[in-house]
Amino acid sequence: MRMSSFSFPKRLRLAMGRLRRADGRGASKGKRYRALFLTCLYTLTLLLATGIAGTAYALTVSPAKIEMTTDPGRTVWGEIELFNEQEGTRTFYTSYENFESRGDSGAPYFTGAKSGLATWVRTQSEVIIDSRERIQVPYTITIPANAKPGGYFAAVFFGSQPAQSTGGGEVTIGGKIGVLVLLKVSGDVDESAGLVDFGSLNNQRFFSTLPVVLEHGFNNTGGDRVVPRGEIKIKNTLQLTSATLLANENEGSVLPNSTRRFEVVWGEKLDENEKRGFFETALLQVKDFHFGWYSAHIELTWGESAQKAEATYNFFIIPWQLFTIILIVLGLVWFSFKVWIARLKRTILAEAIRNKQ
Amino acid sequence: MPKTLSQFRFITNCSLIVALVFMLVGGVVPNTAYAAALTDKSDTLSSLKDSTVSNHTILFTTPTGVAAGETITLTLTSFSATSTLDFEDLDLSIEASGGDGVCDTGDTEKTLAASASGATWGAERTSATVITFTSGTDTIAAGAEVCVEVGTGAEEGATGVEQITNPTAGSYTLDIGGTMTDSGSVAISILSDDQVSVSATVDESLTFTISDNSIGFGTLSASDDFFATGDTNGSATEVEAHTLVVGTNATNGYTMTLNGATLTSGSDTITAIGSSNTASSAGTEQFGLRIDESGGSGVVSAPYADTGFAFDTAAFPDQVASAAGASANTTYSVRYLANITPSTEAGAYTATLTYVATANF
Repeated sequence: MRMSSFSFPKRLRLAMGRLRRADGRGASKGKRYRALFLTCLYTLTLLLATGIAGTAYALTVSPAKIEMTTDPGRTVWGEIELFNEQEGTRTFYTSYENFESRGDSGAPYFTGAKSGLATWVRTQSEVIIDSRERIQVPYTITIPANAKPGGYFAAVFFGSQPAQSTGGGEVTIGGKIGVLVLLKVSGDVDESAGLVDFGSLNNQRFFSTLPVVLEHGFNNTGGDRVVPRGEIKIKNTLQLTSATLLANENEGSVLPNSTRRFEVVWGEKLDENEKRGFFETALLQVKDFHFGWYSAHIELTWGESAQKAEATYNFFIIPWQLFTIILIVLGLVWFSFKVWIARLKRTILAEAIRNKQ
Repeated sequence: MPKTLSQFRFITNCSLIVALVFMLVGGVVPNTAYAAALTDKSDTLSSLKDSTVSNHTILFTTPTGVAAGETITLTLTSFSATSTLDFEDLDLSIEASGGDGVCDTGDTEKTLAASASGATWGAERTSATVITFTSGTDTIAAGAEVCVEVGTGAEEGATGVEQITNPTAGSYTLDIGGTMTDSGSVAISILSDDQVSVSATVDESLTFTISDNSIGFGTLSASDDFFATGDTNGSATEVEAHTLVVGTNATNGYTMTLNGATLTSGSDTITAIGSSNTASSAGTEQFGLRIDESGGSGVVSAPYADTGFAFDTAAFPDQVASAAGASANTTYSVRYLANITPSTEAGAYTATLTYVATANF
């Protein structure tokens, strides 16, 4: 990491000097053009390297998420690693914003930096990173002594300073990459949360085969984020366990005053536009046969007081494609048998008549 | 000759004759079998953890060998073999020529059954702690290396299913004996935990790349659709203006949002196309974008994912793409549309858009 400074490189200065000297001594045109060419080449290289000639943004941050717990009045510190993946030196400008939950997917919604964690976290205002350099940027978080116990959430951004548009009809594209900070100020924090619902996607009760997509909503009305943990046990008609699945495999958090939905897939999830044909489905039903009434039981635990919640959802798997094929085959066998019997009867009758005659 | 000397000679001669007879006769008298100690004994367990089921791979060299009709017993005091353990959970193999210290490789597998018959060996769980192999007519040569596999590692014929349960932590012995001549013991140490925890941390990281930070439409016209290009001159046909690349190893994935405003010139604006995916319509004020994705598991969010265009300023910062879990780099191809009416105020319209990428929580 270094502070920004600008100077022409040594070879460029030499080339420019040669150009001046060439002019001064009345050197040949060829020498002048060569010096001019070198000057232009270095200038172009410099422009490209310093990003004046239109740049991109390519930055990697690590960690992507910081989780910490501390006491009011304390200052904690850490480091964020930045990796400038571009050729050329780049300047990244830091900014901070609080975030809350938006929707039910675990995506952050940024709400500005008027108070809270976004005003407590600090790092250098700009970071200059050389081409393909990896640096550690220190940060501090100073918790006010009167900070209320509970969860605080903010992001530290490293962004490009968008170049100003110079002409009409132009759109300037800026980029920012954020490191999420999930801070708990220790103390007496209200823990209030629970399972909102549990079922299958779109409340589907009948399935012909796997996958069965289960989902559960978890609501947090407490003062800090919670991470619900637990299992979903799926039992078949004979009450034998068919599958045990993690209810929150990625250990996603539910922020205060929000509901988050978690999706758990039994079987291999299909791509959004993937459709299985009749025979492909039947083949899958043979390979991974499930039939009858199933019950999925979810049991979740969360919080420091290890609170629990559970629910059960019943559904059916009827492999009708496979059954249809089996019925058709059985029908054909029955029909062939009937035809054969009829022919046999006719043959015996004809033979009996012949014998009688 | 004095009588005493004669008697001495007689006794000496008799002794010599007796000794000679013994020396001669000794070579034809059958050898007496003496019990020898088994050598190169070992018992390798698949798990040394207490109260855990384990496979056993037992190796030993028998100096005397095993004769037809003899038995080999393996006594694992304090261990517990389930009652359903049978010959299918056992393998017996021999390497007659010396021995290589391993099972299977170069070994001759013996045929096992519930009871001995001819060349087939009987193999059974005699009790919870004793396993017995009984020879029918088959033998094991002296000096042969004998291998016994117990559990799921016994793959000759049918693959084994049942294993032996370890006792609580402590020192135990495997006694190898039976009616075979040789015998021996192997010490086994059972531990409360036989696994060493190895940990390493991989920090979550997030990568975000923008291919171009300045794009343009050129001069707009009410008679045609205009699409932004990287050279800022614009195009009358739809083209990619720039790409965004996002990837992460964060388990909860990432979200990319868009913030900014529509094309603006002083107090004049070109109307944002809105929150629903809408087709381009020349001669109508429209500013919007659409995104295609490729690679990784990132997906474009509605309403930007369809063939029309959208620009939902009311939802800004609006989610434009996301990945639900760790994802390799996804390349998002962004296309921008600007249309005007004949009455759109003249001016130099510009816009600044900021894409923000963060991990999910």
